[in-house]
Amino acid sequence: MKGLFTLLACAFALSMSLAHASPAKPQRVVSMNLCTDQLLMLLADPERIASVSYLSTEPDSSFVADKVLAAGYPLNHNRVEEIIPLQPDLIITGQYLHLQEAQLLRTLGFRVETFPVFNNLADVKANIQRLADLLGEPQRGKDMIAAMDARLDTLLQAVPKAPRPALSYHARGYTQGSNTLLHELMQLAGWHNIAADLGIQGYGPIDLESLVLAGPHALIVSHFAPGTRSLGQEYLSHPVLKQLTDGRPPIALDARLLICGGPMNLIALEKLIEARNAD
Amino acid sequence: MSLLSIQALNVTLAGRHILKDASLSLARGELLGLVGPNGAGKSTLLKTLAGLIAPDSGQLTLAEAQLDALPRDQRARQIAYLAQERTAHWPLTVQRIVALGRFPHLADWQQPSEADRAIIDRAIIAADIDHLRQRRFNTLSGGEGMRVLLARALAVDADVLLADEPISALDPAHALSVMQLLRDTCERGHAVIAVLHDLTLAARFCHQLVLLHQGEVIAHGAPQYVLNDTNLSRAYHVTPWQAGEDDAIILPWHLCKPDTHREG
Amino acid sequence: MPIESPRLWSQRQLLLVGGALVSVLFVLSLFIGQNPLPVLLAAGQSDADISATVQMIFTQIRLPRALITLVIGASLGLCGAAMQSLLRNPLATPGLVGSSSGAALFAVLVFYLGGGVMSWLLMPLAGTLGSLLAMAFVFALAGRDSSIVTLILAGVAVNSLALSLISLVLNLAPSPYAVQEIVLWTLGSVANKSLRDFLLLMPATLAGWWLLRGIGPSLNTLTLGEDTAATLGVNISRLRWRVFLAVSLAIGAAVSTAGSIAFVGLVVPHLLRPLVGYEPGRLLPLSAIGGAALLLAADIVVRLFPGHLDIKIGVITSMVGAPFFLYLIVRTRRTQL
Repeated sequence: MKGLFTLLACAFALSMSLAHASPAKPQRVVSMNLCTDQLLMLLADPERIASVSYLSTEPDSSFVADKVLAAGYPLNHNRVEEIIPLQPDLIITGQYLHLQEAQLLRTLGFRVETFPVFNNLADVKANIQRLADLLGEPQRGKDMIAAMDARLDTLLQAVPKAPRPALSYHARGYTQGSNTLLHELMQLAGWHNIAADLGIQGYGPIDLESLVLAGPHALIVSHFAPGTRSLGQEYLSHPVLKQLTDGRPPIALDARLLICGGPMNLIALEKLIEARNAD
Repeated sequence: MSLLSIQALNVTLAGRHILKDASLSLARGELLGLVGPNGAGKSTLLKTLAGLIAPDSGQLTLAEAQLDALPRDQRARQIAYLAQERTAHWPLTVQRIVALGRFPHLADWQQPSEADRAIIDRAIIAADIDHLRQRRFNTLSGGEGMRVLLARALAVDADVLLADEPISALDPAHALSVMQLLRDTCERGHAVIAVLHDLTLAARFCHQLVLLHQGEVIAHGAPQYVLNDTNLSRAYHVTPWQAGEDDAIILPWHLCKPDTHREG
Repeated sequence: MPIESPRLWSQRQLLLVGGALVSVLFVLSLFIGQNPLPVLLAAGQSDADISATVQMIFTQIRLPRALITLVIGASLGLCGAAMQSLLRNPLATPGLVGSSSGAALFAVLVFYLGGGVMSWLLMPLAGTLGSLLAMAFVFALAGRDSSIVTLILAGVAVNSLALSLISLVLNLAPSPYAVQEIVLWTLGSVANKSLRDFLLLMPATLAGWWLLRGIGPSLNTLTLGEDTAATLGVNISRLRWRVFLAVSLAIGAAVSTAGSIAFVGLVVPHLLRPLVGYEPGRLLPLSAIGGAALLLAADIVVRLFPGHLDIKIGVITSMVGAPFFLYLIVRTRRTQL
């Protein structure tokens, strides 16, 4: 116990001295969260990234897994003792994850900035601009958002007018209702999200009977960890789902396109529009 | 002609030589009392005859057939066994417990016939438990329970009845009526072997006694021959006690209820 | 317990009444769901889309679920009665002596670490093997004429070992969802099952039931102890292995389909035993019917909760069963220890 206190005291003293020396543009940025990892990779100069979280190397979850692996950044597992020796001048993470670690790091004098959850493209853009500002590179944020808007405009030209009913269905019987990014993307792509009609807000469970009764024309699935098996994933192979959509395969979106906010969300939108047009 | 005979039987249990060259024979209509001190091997002998323990060596014959060559179900029909265990794990009614005795006679899915029911009734009446038919076993007194289990063994209607301590823990009246019942069973053409500790009743009811001592048959024959001074002191370390004139003694008793079995 | 027990109903009457109850519950469970009855609503409509939807809900969702619940309930009731009768011990049920958790462990191993179609077919067999091993282990640990205490202690040991191994397997499983699924295996759930699950359940279940057919009279003789039963011509060790194998087949299939649903095998035989005059042979079929009725009723209760509350069926059976179990322990303590 005493040893731990000594360690903490040393770390504290060390970090205080670092905090004072922190320049306007953070030079050693640590990200503790998959979503901030990805934005950081897209916005920051490589030499300013001190560490990203281990999840950013998982190809199922991370859109930048290849880049992270190629760059060989130190990976952190959201542990305080991993982060202190990196001597970061900016730590970024999600709003609701690793609260204790973030609080401890703040107590030790580190600068910790948290990013709120995103429920639509506007939130995503706000997070992009916020990180760009924190990095001292506001123009890069503006450029990225402008590129996204331009891409959005191009994509939306091909959207059919009349929306068709659809519903997302994920492992363990979860769906995305109103106030979710997927809900907005579905609307943009010409799909009517009937989960929202059922009063589901955010990410919530839907029982199979309600799903069948709702009568979606298409199902949207995103296979997380494909090739693995669990009872939760079995929900997606219930034979009634195939019968429900007259044997048409569901619209499959890679999980990594939607887990976090960023330009990759538009790839998901593109696939939704393609599916709507092919229908 | 003997119905059941044992020649040079040896039994070893958990490394202990329990029965040593034991031999005996029994004819139809005979009641054989198996006596001897605790641990002499009486129950082991009975269990071996019942097929519960495999002997190391020896000849067991039943009506001139090798006992160990008999199929399981045929053996069950020919030898009934009354265990020392006096419990019923489920509180069945007396009627249903006695009816279990017909198990060896019924094929799979076969319901008891009229003949089976008649045998069950006969066993129930013989054991004087007619008034208990619908009672649950766990509500019976020790004596009643004993008679029910005996009736169950009688209901097998086997040639040979093996009874392990049928009168231990019974009061004098019940002990007497059970001994009488065993005797009556013999008179109907069955043969009975009973493990007994009450030498007085053994001497009075049994046609022959077998005295076991440390796994050996040390005497075999009529009660007055087996229960002599030498044998008793060797097996039990006791001698017959002669009552003096002033000593209070309990004499061998008779049942005095008017409706009980006749005295043989 | 009454001294004289006039038999109110014959076996035939009991089976008929029980069968009628199961039929009613089965039909009810087809018509009760998380959603208000769409059937009557659909009957008045000529809209082909709606009737197709209702048909889908009936044939693909509710029918498989009701069938699976019926069969598993019957297996649990039957196996509980068979085990209690064999071991002459009112607490010796598949759930308590570890055979359910043994089955769950092996089914989990095959399910999460295996793959492909073969593993689907192998799951009931793996469950059977796990159940058999657990039972043999408890039996070896507790001994032949086991007292209630040793049996329960051995069961506790096997159950907690199996539980920790299940948890380990789920942690090591490649799927990120596996870790959260321990509750599905330990409490049991019949939700989201399809006809395919029902078809996979049946072979081993029917094999188990088949093995128990006609076993009643032999179990009756065990009332007077193994020695007496043996001298009545019962081959005790064959009987024992027959019951163990039958229970393992039926429980292995049930657990690999719906996890280990607790307490049905304990409660049902107990409630019904007085009705059949405590006779093991007569208890078996009635207990199967009672198990089916109880599980169907529990599943109806589960479905009365709003759809987003995914209550597991094992929660309901445990809520009924655990107080009953305590009551049994107290009563057994008073009478037997």
